Amino acid sequence: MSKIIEVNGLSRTYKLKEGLKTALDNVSFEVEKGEVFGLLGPNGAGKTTTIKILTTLLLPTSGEVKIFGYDVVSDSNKIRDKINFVYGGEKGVYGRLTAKEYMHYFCTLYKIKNNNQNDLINNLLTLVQLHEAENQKIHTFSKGMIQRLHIARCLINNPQLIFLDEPTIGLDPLGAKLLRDIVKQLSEKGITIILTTHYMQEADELCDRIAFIRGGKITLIGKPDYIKKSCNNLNLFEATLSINDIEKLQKENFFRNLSIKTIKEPYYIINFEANEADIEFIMKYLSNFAEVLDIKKKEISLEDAYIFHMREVINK
Amino acid sequence: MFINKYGLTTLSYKAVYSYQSIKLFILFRIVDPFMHYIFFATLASALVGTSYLKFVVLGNIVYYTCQTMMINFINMFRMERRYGTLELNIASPTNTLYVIIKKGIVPLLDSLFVFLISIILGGILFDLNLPINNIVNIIFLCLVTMFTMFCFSLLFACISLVFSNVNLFLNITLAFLQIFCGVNFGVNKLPEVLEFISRLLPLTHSIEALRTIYRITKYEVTSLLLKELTLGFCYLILSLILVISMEKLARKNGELFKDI
Repeated sequence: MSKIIEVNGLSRTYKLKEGLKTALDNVSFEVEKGEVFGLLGPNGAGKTTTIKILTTLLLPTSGEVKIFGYDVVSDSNKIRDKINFVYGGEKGVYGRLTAKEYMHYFCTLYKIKNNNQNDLINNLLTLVQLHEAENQKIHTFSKGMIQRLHIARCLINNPQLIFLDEPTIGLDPLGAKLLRDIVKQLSEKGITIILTTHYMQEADELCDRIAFIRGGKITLIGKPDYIKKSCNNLNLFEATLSINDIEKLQKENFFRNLSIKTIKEPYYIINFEANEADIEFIMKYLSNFAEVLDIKKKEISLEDAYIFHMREVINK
Repeated sequence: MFINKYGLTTLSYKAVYSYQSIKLFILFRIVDPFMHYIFFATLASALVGTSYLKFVVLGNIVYYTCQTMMINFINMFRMERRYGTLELNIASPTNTLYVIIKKGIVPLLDSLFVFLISIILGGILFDLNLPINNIVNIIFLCLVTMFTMFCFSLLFACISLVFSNVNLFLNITLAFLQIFCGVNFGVNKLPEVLEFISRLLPLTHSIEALRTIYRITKYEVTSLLLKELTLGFCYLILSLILVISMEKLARKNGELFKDI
């Protein structure tokens, strides 16, 4: 596999009134051709700064970034011909234009010959399932349709690398599913995709590899399974209880990150983390407070791993 | 027949231009200039007498034409910023200045229409009869003035990107032009330093040339228009430099323009 993205010691600082702010601090990673690479982290972690630098819209303060072997600082035009990007949300469209007109507009900007524009637009709108709405004004589109139109727009220049910055933000489950299916189709065609999202299930489903970014640094990088396994020492439990004094349980330090869901008093489902891994011991301890109806050790999801790794930031 | 319905200019017009209905067009391109000229003509007549009326109206015709171009140019950019499409335009492989110029064609045609309508209104309302024997100069003036206004608007539109309150910037600039370009009084009445500034602005020479063509003042028309043309080229070069510098600065600072 060939490397599409090579990032070495990338740093980026912003000058603010309060002083210098480090958005990225010595970040290094690589992305192979055809990979779906997820960049996950809390707000302000440095995801968008990374994407802006990779899309040549922002210069790094230090470090080296190469896309297709071209330097992002000196060869931005060569890179721009081969990439495209989609930012989440409803911005970036002309509401008064129809989907077809919008596509023509960007075809012209991307220097697609007039003779080829119609076929290209038909194919792309069909791919994102908007061909039936091609003559509909964009201001009548739903959020999901706008996101799909963005995807169609970003494919105009036949990019080999696409950046998707929170593409499913604010979409209903069906819209999000449709968009995920499109991302899978693009990936199957060999297009490399860089994805940022706050939806861990989505990242788990789509990404071949994931990087956790926190405070401008990449703290963990690997396949989703590897990331989940990195939290093997994490003991997460889910228990169904019948309990009369739930407050007593809440005060107990033994159960970390306790979350309680009421089924119907006195029945509750609780989720918690414990230092102890032995389920028998946990059950015995719990029985001091309640009647344990069911208890199981939870399989660690990407979300659990994310929360575990980002805890310091979240607690701030 | 000559309009490409999927061209950048046509689609930009449909996407972000303010006046898209005949009703609005008549209101803003015929009724509004009519009211503008009536107001200033009345004011001038009341203050200094009717002999000064033609002088003021001709100045205002050029000014109103420029105002039309600037407001529409700026509005297009404001809409692009509101829609979040400016970044997508700039990130495309097409040269940014080329995109801006293409988007400026409709405001240019719009203001040309306003200029022609104003000349007709001037004839009907204020007895400003078009000097047919000077038609070559009129056409030359029209081309030069439009070019300089276009280049100035281009520069102005680029500068406006750094302002969060574009309207304030626009209003101040228009007021500045109205005072310092000799719209309502000759710039030779200004102190020397201010007259020097006014000679660096667009409109000043065009207004003097138009008044001379209509035999209100006596200047050398060709010389005035050549000065105006030179200014236009200077504004174009400045715009070019500004667009390139702003693109570089945007990559350095991480933002191209202030959010609105």
